[in-house]
Amino acid sequence: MAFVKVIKNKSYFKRYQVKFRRRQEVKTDYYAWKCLVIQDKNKYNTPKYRIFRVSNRDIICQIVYARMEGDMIVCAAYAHELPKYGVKVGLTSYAAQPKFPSMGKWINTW
Amino acid sequence: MGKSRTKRFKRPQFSPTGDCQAEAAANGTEGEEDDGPAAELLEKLQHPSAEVRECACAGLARLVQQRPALPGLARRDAVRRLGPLLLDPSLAVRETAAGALRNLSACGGFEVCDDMVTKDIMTPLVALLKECSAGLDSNEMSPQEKKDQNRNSIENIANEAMNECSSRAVSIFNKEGCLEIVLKYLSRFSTNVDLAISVAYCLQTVTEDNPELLNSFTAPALHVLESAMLSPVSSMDYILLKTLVAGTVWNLKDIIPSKSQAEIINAILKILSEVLEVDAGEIVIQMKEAETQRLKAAAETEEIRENANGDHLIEDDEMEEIPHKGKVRRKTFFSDLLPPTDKELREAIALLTAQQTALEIIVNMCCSEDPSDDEWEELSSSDESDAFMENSFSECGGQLLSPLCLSHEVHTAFTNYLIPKKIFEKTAFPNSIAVDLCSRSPTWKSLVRKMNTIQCRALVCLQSLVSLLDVDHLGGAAALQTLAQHLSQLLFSQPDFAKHVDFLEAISSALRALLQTMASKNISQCMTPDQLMTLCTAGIHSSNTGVRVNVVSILGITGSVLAKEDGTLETLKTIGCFLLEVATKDPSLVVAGEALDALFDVFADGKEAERASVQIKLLSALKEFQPVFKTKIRKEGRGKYSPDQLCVLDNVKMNLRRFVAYQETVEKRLTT
Repeated sequence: MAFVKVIKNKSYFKRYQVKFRRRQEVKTDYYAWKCLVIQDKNKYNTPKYRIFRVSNRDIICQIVYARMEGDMIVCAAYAHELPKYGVKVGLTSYAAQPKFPSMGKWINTW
Repeated sequence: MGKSRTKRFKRPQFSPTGDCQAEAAANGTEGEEDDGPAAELLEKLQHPSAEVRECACAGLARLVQQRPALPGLARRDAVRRLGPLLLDPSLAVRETAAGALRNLSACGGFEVCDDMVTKDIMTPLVALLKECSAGLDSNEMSPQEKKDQNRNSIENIANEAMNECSSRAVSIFNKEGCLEIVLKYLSRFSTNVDLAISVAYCLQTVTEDNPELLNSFTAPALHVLESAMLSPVSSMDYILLKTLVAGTVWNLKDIIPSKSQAEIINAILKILSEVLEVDAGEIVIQMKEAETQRLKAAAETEEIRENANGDHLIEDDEMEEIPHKGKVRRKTFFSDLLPPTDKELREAIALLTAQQTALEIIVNMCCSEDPSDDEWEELSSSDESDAFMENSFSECGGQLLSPLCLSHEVHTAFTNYLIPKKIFEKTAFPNSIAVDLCSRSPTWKSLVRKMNTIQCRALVCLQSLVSLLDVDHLGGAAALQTLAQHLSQLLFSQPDFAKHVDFLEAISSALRALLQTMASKNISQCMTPDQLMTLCTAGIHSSNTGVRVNVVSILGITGSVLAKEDGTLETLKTIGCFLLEVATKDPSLVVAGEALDALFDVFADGKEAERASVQIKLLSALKEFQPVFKTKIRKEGRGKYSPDQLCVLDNVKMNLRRFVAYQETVEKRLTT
């Protein structure tokens, strides 16, 4: 019986893609400065605002934008904070998830 | 104004006590000395005489090309002093100030451009653009003067938009309605192609990832772009213009109605195909020859004139007669900041730039724009959540099917215009005669680098096409084998291939993609084991991460093919040890992850692979490395790697856990 890899996301297949950008949105250490017309090669997507979710015993919700010096977190909320507000059970339920319908899709862990 | 020698930067002053310089620095006086001519030039920017201001700007235009000068200029607020001169009463001062700012933005890099925008360079730039635009309508100023300052100001905007301050500069561009102005200049392409080219550079830059600006593109604006794309080609400048506009239109494809998309993509690729059809080497040779003839004819004419008049050539340009004074002095003082005026050199540069741009546009066309980010999930320390995610992407016969593909329109256009064949031709080494001719001339020397860059771009293009087009559209198995031989020959014909990093990265990526495609279709490839090991041994020591990723991947592909054959035990052990070493020792997590992924492929199946894995103690090594890998991702992941890279590493981490479990069953079976 052979070993078969499993892939969870498209990034794996896109990892060799190269995109030439004329604007460098993010400073990196990889690219040397060039005079006059700069043709930048960027293997990485531009940073976007996104919400990160952890599908596990806890749920972490963050509004983050990525920068080379590190992700900048605008704000964060944790399911384990809910007991402070009187919610002691069902911390990974659908109801425990914050609702930001305009900010991307959520995976139901219930 | 006398001729002033450009002062070199002074050496640190010797002090018998050893500390005077440090004290002076602390007192803020020492800096004045070490900046050389900067202070003097900046002071002269305020001089009442326009000629002095012009010369100061010219001096600054030269000075900014020296990196050590930049901090001193920034400290002295050079940008705030130069900026207002864009609106100077004297046209010559405006032009030269714009040239100095252009050089500053082009040579300064991210920090300098950011500083320029912070110091509000955009306000005078935009004001100048608007003023010139109004003048263009009313024909107030002389056409040549207007052309030159417009060109410089637009090149400034283009350069600044191209660099790191882009989001701010672009935002100002959007808000100030600069689009309408620059499109007006573009529409005059038939009478002023230089200006149109500068505009096209600017547009290609500002339309990149700028949805806000896209909404400003009205139908008349699109018509301007269309007419530029359809303009007849009377020189290489027009080829460059059409290519840049094609790139701009590609950036705008989201606003093009669906019913017109196929037509527009077809038009874009027709232009790119025509650009790539041209043999750049032959053109360079022809242009160089034409220049030689022109200079020879000019020298002969001059000699005849001198003999007829009995005058001597005046060697010192300062002593030139008054009627010619401005022009000749401009030629010697300012020629280095103006774009090359020699017609033949400009034509050659325009063609090479057009070809490079065309290849880059094709590479970008092959990029999938699907948002993969939304599917990323950060996992906590527990891996229990892996279980329900294991069937996200389907496999077929043990091979992963890539979801990436080209759109039908792009695919059709690539095939119709024989794009793969043209790109293949551009992967060859530049014409050696052209290289030799250019190397001998100081002004033509930069073309050698451009020709080499075209080769690199073509190799990257090839990588994209080989990954995305199916084998039939690439010419079948025989064509792929020919291609593999061609790439091997390109690589190994240069004994010092490891030193040319850009070339090595490009060719290793093309080889990787080709070997992957051939392996997936069971097409035998021609690289010998010795060649393979030479490439991998050289590549793995490269400082370039891309090179290391590619050689590791090539090794993985080769190993997975060999694993299915008999008598490959020793080779598989060598490959396994090599990959294990890279996985555990490489400083980059991306490379380590790729090495692990390659190990999963090599040792996924096959009797020889199983035996080899046991003999090299693969299981124990991976078990020992597993927690280290996990910790490294957690500690370094966010700081150093993009979200997409973290997605890939997450996949690797999960498959490592699964592979360890698989390898345990293999070892159990083999040892019982």
